[in-house]
Amino acid sequence: MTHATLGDGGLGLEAQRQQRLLHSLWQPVPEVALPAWLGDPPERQARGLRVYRANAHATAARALAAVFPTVAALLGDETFNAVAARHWQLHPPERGDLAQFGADFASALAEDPQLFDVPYLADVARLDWAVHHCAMAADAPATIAGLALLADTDPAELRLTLWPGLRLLSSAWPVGSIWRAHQPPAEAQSGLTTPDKLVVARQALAAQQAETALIWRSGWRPQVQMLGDDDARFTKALLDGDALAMALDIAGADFDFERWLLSALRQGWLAAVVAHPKYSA
Amino acid sequence: MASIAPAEPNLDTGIGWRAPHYAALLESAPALGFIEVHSENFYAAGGAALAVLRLGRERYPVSLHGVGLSLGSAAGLDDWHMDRLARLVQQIDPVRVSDHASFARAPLSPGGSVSHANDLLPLAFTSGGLAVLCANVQRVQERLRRTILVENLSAYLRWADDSMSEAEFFNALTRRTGCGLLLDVNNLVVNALNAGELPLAAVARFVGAIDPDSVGEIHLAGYTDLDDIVIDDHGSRIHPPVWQAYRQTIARLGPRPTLIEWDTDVPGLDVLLDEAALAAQAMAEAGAGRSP
Repeated sequence: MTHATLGDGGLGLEAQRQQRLLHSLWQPVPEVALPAWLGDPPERQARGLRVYRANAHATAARALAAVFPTVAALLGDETFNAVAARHWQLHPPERGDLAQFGADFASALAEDPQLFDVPYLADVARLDWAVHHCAMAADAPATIAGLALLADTDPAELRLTLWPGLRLLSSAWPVGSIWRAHQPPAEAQSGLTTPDKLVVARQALAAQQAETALIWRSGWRPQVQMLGDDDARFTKALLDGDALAMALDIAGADFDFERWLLSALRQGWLAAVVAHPKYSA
Repeated sequence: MASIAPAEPNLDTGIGWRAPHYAALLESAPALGFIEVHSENFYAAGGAALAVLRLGRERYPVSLHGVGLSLGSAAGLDDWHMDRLARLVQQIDPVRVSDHASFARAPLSPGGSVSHANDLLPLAFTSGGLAVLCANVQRVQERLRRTILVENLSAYLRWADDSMSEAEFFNALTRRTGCGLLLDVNNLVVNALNAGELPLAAVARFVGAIDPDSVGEIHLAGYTDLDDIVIDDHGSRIHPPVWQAYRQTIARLGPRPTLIEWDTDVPGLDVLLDEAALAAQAMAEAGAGRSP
């Protein structure tokens, strides 16, 4: 079957009716142009359209709450569901995989005048999105290639590549503390109870404490850890593709590479050590 | 009537395997013919969900059921979606692959970029609607190098210019493409109730008209009656009219792999297994009642 055998009329008509129905579903009020296309009495048509609209908004809330659980917890169900429905209306999904929906949710939150009183919300959304992608990233390789190069190669000729799902997020707000405060108790790493963590997050917020969060996956579980300034600069340099010597320069004299390397090996940050003679200037 | 041995589970029944039961199913490993998952939940390159599905696949045949291919879209299929489905099929080696006779991809305005409604929107039962569906189904089958099953919908709208019955539409689809029918009995009952028809009569009419050899899997689920409309929400036990329609269907078709679907307010695993056992019992009774 090829389109040539359809006749233009058949295909054009199907394309037109499908466009009309989607258009109608995305209208805030029921569309008047569609009834001529539908076979039921007007009341029945309106009822049917309401079912699909309600489905859409329930899907939006469910999909976005799964990807942005911290944003959902901060806003509460009622506000979050309204925000999710608005996002669905203004930024319709492009894919039939709802795990991909929400790529522009953080920037939409930043621009939403109704959320200006929660200025850190967009960065929390960015962190949720990074955690979500980290959870779905390709599994880490069983062994770290080229590790022995560290012992006998000039750092100017080496590059450390990090696990592809690893992300760094710098914020003017304490996003990592906020994220931690909303993790289920079983996943707490600090030993603090949830109320304690909320107090920590509130104090950090009140102090407008900036944070850089490292997001990675340990086994199957995404992890978020706040980095000190030296570690943050070093990690960013590696992610930017800088040679090890350059990254060490950027990290500064106080940076403890051995300590970092032990953490990297234990936590699975490091994917490979690669020799790059071109970096030797 | 021949005696039935209920202790022997019918290997043609399966359950929808959802996140709340990932651990429970792997730990208890109940006797089931297959498990079913929604393909789109496993499109990630790696991570926990995919690892869990691999473990499930070690114990059971897996039926990969899609909800997002948009097989009936005049705007065509999304290569991104096809690539991920093809990768998953290769990884899991499923016993069956299916999606719906529906559309979701279309531009919101004429000539605009294509959006995806992430819902199962009804196709017109017209020669044009059939041609679009056939072309897309063939593309998927060529890509996957296997036939797929296509499911009948519960639809809350119908098009004014439908020119053939739903059964005629599916018979033409399966004949032209070689694909099979995933017969959702609950959807037939929901549509009948919403059309003010008697469910058993409507199901009998559909099943009587359909090519029996085309049916590769049957779906059973619960619906919610909101008084002014019945919603196919997969959120409750299977209702009596659906069980009756199911018995009537397998009496005509013979036993078919049968799935218990439960997607909202998912209960304990034991409830799903209980429903699966009821389906197995119905199949055993239908088998016993049939002449060889």
